[in-house]
Amino acid sequence: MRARFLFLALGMALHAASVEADPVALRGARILTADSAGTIEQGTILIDRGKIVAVGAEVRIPAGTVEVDLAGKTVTPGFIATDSVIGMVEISGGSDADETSSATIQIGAGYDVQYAINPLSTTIPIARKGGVTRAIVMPNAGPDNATFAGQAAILSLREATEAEVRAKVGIVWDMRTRAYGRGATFVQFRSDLADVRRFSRNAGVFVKGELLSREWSRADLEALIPIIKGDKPLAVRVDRASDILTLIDIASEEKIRLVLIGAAEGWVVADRIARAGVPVAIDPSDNLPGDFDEIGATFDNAARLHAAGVQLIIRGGASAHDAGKVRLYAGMAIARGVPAEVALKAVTVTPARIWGAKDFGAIAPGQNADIAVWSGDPFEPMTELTALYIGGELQSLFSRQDALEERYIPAARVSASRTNPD
Amino acid sequence: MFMRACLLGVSMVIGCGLPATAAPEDPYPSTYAAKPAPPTAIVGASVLTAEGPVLENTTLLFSDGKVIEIGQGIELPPETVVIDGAGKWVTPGIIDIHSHLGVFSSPGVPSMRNGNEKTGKNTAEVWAEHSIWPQDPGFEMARRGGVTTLAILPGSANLIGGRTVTVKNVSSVSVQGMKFPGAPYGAKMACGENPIVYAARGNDPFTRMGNMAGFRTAFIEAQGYLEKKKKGETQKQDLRLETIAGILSGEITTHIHCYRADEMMQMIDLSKEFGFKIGAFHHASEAYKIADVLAAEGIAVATWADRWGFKLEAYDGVPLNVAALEWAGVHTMLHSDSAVLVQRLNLEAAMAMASADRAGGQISREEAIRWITLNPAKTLGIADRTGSLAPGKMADLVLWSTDPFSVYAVAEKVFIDGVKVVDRDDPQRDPDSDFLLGQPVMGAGQ
Repeated sequence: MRARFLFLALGMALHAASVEADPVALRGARILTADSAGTIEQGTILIDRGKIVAVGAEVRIPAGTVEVDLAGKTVTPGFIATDSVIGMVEISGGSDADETSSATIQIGAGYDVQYAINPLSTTIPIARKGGVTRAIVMPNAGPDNATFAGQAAILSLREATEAEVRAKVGIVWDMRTRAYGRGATFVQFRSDLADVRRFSRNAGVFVKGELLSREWSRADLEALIPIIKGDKPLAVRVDRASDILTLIDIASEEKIRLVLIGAAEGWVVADRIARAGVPVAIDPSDNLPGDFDEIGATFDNAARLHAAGVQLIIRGGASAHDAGKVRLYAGMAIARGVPAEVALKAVTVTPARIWGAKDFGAIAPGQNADIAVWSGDPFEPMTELTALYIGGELQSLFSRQDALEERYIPAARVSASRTNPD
Repeated sequence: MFMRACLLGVSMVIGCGLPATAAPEDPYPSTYAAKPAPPTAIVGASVLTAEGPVLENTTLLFSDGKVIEIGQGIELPPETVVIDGAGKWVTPGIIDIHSHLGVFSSPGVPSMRNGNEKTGKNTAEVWAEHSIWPQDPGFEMARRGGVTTLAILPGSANLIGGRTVTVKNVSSVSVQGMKFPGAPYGAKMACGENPIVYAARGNDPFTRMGNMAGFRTAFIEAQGYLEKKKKGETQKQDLRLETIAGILSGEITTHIHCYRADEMMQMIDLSKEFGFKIGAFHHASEAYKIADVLAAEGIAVATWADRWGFKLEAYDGVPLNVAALEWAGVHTMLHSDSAVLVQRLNLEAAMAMASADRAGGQISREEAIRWITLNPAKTLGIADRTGSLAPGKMADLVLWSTDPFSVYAVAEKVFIDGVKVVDRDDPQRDPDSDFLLGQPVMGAGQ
């Protein structure tokens, strides 16, 4: 067992090294590009130095290229798990092995998930097995439980001892209206924004104690500047239609880039969301009236929002342990009327662009080679992931779960060599 | 309702003829009776009966609530409603053996958290059916996911949490109108973290050894009660001891919430110490570590496809658990324990099949469908009436838009005792649940 591990590790290293040295051509697969090229049958993807250089039905292969035959396979961009706590949680409950939010009232908007991420969490290889290559890691509500939760980050699920994180890609607000009451929450929000604008014009107001809405920490004020300038998105977890409308109105007045997360009653005000150009991250399985803010929850939410022209992100499997299931949530959205092409983009290029990443999310020249290889339709549970590349590097698909299976389940021992793509 | 059911000749094992004041041995009886429905035939579908191979291009005829015939070239009685099943699939109605619908309802407001009687470590006296809110919209969502029968369990906050109840997933103003006629009772037990963590404040158990002591004490007490009962000696009726004595006498099945292999082994020894049979371990994340023991002991397992990591005792959950149990000969089932997962137990089965495939093994559709139909029916003691499609069995069935193990499969029509309870071709139907009826938001934004 130990010997095999070593052998595999060595194999991986060699392969990764060869990717560094020589271009790689993935040939013969059905390519779902999530880009303007749409679907390419029996196409070729040429990768060099971690980037996609060319993609198409006919691609010139330079001498010295390592060719990988993917005939019969389907290839997609690596999937993106949006609104995840992967890396922040090893065990969700009762084990002091989770941190998803600030525990101090002093740091709210400034809370930075990058420091909570452990790249050696067992959840990361398991998510890779679902074809997930990046996650938008987002904090949960902080101690005041009512306003800004903190700053999101994009985590690469690449095998690494050091987390590859793009920090501070936006601010998350977990709108728990009951904590303050709506009549206070939105008033607080507006006066917070006014303070941030004053601070942004003249940081001296902080030293002079001239800020009015609350006792600010400097970290929180600084974190919010890109939001009021419209440089980064403010993602709000919200469900009730009336709250969505309030947020759209405030965002429009304040010129804030709003992203709605959850939006169980989004379909009710789909036209308003579409007109405001606000993207929505939907869990397509969210159809229960879990509380009185989502009486209108329905399976048809995603399809109706799409029909109204709203840009969709599909999220699902919010726990760190289920991050690899995002492809199934895309499938569920398709089953409920979202076009397959839209669903594909909703778990790849759309979240990447909304969170400010221009260099991954699609299979197109210039993009990072984040590529998932599938035995068939990537949204079907019966389909197997056969290989995964992040930034052109072939990733291990071996997890702690595989190790447990090998130890205890005879069939897993016999087939252990299948657990690695090589 | 009683009278009508009897007049219609609907088969009721219990119910018809009972006096208004219930007999002590069967209080709170079922009043469920299927409504009349026309003879119906689904023609040309692929039929997974849960008893044999997939039957291609097959007709399934049901009438008076029962499956009449399954095959090709069936002569249909006049007035039969014919449904075109070409390209579609038929399966038995799905059975969820671990649900808290109605006891932890939607909306999940504090006043509706009725599943855990957190007043002590042993609350064997409570019955889940007395907490069930039949208007929980979750029942209707589960119905749209093809679920026709559910075992509703008390929660896992107590060592012995109370009695379970088996219900037909029908719309009703009372739980009595949902109770599966004549289904035996179960008892919910829980080992591990939950009885410790959620124990009533200031009460034991504080530790896993406290859990075991609590179980042993409870069974010792019930032994004496059962002894007297058997001898016909008079004693004051004790609801708590009635349930535990029922476990000892074998009348009540045990559903034991247990994650870790070592704790399941402790529970097996407990069952031997007191001479009762364990019905099923639920959740059982580590069942794969003792698959051979479970097979040899004839203990069933109800679990998920691959949930893990939500607490330490579920840290070793693996996606190959279900297949490993099946391969070892364990009576294997999938359960939901969730108002969301219950709506896609077919996908849970697909995920477990896929894990078997990846390991290079094989689980057929014929095997996988049993995890969510016939196998739970057997453990619940209702397999003679539902859980598979065969002449004479209840016409509890689902017409799927495609292969039920596909993510794209939608339950187009669902029948319970031959009555159509879900119809995707009639989307304008009012919600079944009174709670959702007439809500302005449902008609908004059109």
